Amino acid sequence: MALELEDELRRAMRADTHGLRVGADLVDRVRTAHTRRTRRRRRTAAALLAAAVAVAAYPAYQAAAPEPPAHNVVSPPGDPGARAGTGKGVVLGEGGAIDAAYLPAGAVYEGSVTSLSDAWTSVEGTWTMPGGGRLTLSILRAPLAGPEDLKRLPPFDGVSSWERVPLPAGPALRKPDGTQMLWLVRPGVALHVAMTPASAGELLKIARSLTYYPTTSDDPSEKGARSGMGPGDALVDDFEVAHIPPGLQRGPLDGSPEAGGRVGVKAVEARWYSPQEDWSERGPRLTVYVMKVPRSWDEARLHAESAPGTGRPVRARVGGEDGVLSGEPGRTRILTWIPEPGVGIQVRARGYRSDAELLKVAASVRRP
Amino acid sequence: MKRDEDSFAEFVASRGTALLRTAYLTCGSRDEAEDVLQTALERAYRSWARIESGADPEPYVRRIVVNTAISRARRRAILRILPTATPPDRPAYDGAPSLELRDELMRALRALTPKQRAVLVLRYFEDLTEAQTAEALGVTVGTVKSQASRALARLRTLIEPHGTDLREVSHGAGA
Repeated sequence: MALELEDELRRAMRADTHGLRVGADLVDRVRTAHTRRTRRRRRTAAALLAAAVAVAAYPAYQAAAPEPPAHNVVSPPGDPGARAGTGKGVVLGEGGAIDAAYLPAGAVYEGSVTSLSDAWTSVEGTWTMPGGGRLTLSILRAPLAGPEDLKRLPPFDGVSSWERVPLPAGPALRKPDGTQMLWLVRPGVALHVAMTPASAGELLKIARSLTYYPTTSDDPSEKGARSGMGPGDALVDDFEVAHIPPGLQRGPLDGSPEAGGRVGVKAVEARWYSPQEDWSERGPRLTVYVMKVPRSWDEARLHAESAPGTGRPVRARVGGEDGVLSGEPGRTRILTWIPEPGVGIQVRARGYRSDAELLKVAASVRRP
Repeated sequence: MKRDEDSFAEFVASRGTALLRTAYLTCGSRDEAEDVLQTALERAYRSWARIESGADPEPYVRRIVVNTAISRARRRAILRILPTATPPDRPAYDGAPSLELRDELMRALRALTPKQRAVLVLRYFEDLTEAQTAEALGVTVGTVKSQASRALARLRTLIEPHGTDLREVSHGAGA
């Protein structure tokens, strides 16, 4: 009987992995890493919120927010999170932050998750309640002109009925079972609060305590009109990419520990690609990395660490800074520079005949 | 939370090894596979209660594993020139066709693009359907079909020049 390639491949893969087993301490390692990361996030969030408050407060509900109780702090005494702003919890998103002045006693911050789709972006912070329930606070960015548009957001379009609940800044939508609330804080930006049913009695109190702070000029309608892009398209970490080549759409945003590859320091990676091409195919593609690097690094060191073996490097200028250009002409071209001490930026462009688009993109990267 | 902790530990105990093998086949390195799996499980752990409220957490975790492995393999390919010019020495053909063919196949598998490799791993190691594979990779079923077809064709190309004719070997093995 003749064997097919697929059958032999299946056998080969099973034989090759036969002796592979996870270590007995894997669960412990995951929990330890999770705890460390959560602590780091809380420290970072607190520092960024303090900066956000200093830049521009957008008092969505400040007038009606109740006095925060002296207890129920999420951050332990002495933690920077307890000192930043007035809030008890913070969620940071692209271009904005939520400060929660009230959270139920014993709520424990678990972390935040960024989601990105064609239609909207969200940053969702999660807290665990003492009884085992969950609370999520989210910043949603989408083409939203008014409250009715909220119902069309993908996560909520299956909800058949909503109640209208007045809040100081305007009407909010609430699910009849009291587990979710959703409202606009400005055109293109909505806040969402969700709780598991056991804790749903606290929902309205939490919602009223929230303050939204924009950290950038983040009006998506303005941004869309200027560049033809959707909300959140052009923000990478703390930087804005003002020019995106025509025909590209935003792909995944990767802020995971492995973003930035062997540089080994924190990086955020954003990609744009042609929607007509599969991600792995040969269509035009743009990737922007924002990397936190040692302050002693210059552009040559960053290039050597992050793009070794990518062809003979040549000097380039980016917005008055020295940069390094490398890569194979006509294929992937890479431009690396240090816009300020401790921050490295790398732009990779694939599928362009010249470096014109790469240079235009690089020149447009700036702090908003 | 206690219930979540217990169910997470149970999940890792029951499915961790299978996911580690998938990660290993997708990224091609045991050390990196362990790192990929830990990273993926950490992400899943953060939202475990929400995952668990659905039916089966494995597809969600597998999706994180595979996409993390692909992402790392791509970045490795970009950031480090892989030494493909001098393949490792091949053992002399010793009349044990299946063993040699499996070595050839595993070497060829590692020479595919990360996405192609992931498609083959999910389809023929995990035995997922095309639709399940598409869901895990976040692509269309059509893309899975085309990637699988190209990957298999590439595998044939990679193993045949070295005297490993699959059909002959297979016939020989069965004879």
